[in-house]
Amino acid sequence: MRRMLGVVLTALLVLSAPVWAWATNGMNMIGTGAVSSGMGGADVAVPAGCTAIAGNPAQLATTCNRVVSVGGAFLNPQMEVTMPGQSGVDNEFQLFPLPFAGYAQRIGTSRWSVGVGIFAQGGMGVDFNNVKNFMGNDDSLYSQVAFMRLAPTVAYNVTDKLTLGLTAFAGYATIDYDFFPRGVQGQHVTGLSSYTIAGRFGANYQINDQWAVGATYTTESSLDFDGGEMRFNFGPGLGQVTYRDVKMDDFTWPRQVEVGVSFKPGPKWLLAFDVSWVNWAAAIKTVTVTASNPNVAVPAGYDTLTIPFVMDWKDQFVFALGAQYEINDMWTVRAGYNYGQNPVPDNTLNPLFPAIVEHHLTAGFTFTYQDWDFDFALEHGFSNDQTNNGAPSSTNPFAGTEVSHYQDTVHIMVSYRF
Amino acid sequence: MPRLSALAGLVLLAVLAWASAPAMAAEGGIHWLEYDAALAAQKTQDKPMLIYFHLPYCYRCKEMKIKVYNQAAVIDKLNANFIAAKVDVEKNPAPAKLYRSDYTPSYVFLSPGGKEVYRDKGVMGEERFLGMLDYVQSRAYMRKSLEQFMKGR
Repeated sequence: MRRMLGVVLTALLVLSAPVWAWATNGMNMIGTGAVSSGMGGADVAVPAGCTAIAGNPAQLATTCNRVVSVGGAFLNPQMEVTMPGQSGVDNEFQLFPLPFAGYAQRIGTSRWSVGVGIFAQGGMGVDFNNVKNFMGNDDSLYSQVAFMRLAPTVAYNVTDKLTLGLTAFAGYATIDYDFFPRGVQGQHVTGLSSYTIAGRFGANYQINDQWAVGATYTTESSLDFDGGEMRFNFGPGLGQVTYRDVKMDDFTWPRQVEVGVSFKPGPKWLLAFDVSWVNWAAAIKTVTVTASNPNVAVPAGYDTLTIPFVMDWKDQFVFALGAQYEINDMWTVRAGYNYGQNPVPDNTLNPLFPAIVEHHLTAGFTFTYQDWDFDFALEHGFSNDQTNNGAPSSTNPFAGTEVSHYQDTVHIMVSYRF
Repeated sequence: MPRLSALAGLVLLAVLAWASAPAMAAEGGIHWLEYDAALAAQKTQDKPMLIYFHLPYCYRCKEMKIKVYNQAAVIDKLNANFIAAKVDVEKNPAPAKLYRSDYTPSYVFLSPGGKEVYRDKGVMGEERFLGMLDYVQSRAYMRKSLEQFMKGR
């Protein structure tokens, strides 16, 4: 079972890789699916089909019959890193697919709905070539954090107003990174991966025909990466040494609390507002990479390398506001705004992990033809700049470094009801 | 500045939505009957019958209530010209089984003589729903499809 799960999640990762620089709300996507994303990610109290698997699981109960959805997003990030005393370096052009597939159905005419889906929860990363390392030579900074989730979900209509939902997340994450590999103490790390499990509980209460409120609680996902390999550059003398047993500890996907409200001021309108709290402070503190089992004899004390990345991220509040208007039976349009506080502190900013985008503006539409929905959304993450103002030290090698980051994302999805 | 403008635009959109929202008709306007009562009523009235299959917690059924069943034109036409039966398929599964209708929302129309003459499903807007009522009431189903009928309206 574990092997099969690994095969499925790995296949989806391959389809969506490389997935650098797709950080939005911290490392989370602002929404899953073109409907949620078109409304700025405001979806906690908004009816959903399959995408409830990645949102509020209670909304799965709005599935009246059977629905299958397939789609995803294409993300284009734009970043620049400016090291102290150097000119800025842009990241390489990238366009990354982030797939989603799901199925949901009501069990007969009962109060139970079930579904299963697979989707990209989030990630981040960079690809800077020709950036000067600490010795002034051309080098590279590269990182890739990718996190996919397989999510069986169940929802139950307690009453015609109250619905509850539960999702079990089986996750698979990978990390690769280059930290100035051509310089002394440079690192080239590949193949770190981790399985993890988590859960999300959701509720929705339909106050009346116009107002609804919802909430979710997501447990944290502890990621214990291992199975990696590191090529460590000792410089003149030992040169490049490959450590064949590399792991990464204390990297966690955070727990999260969301509350939302939706309001229908008329038959054609839907407005929604969500507030989320993301507990990055408990999830991303000091991430430690441990490398052992070198491929050559090394002096005493170098058998095992312990490399800390001090990050100390802050908790994050996310505010999402969305509006939807049905023009007619076939066309529905949406717009949204999403603000997520930057969780990265100024004094630990690391260009390998630039999850700093805060403001997002989105727009989208659905074209409905008989039992088919064709959803589309555009998302723009406005540029944010940040400078590391910490004191230079062995655990803060990027003091004085400035990072800027913006991104555009296209979401598409096709759903069929039957 | 563009962010503030965008946010202001969304707020304005919300206010306009509130201000432009048409008043909804009072709930309970349609004279829904239980299935058995509707069958009995049809024996004394020369009217076609609509059997509306729903679940109380089906979101798309709630959409029909808000978008269609609360609208005055729909209430007037249904009450004047149809016998309307509302079937909760969880509480009363027999009619759904009889008419092979496990999809909600769905609509089965019977002629005044009790014969099934048309069926449809899913959420639809007021205009299409009124057209569907006209289609059945005028017996246009004997000559053309609903799509053809709607194009000719």
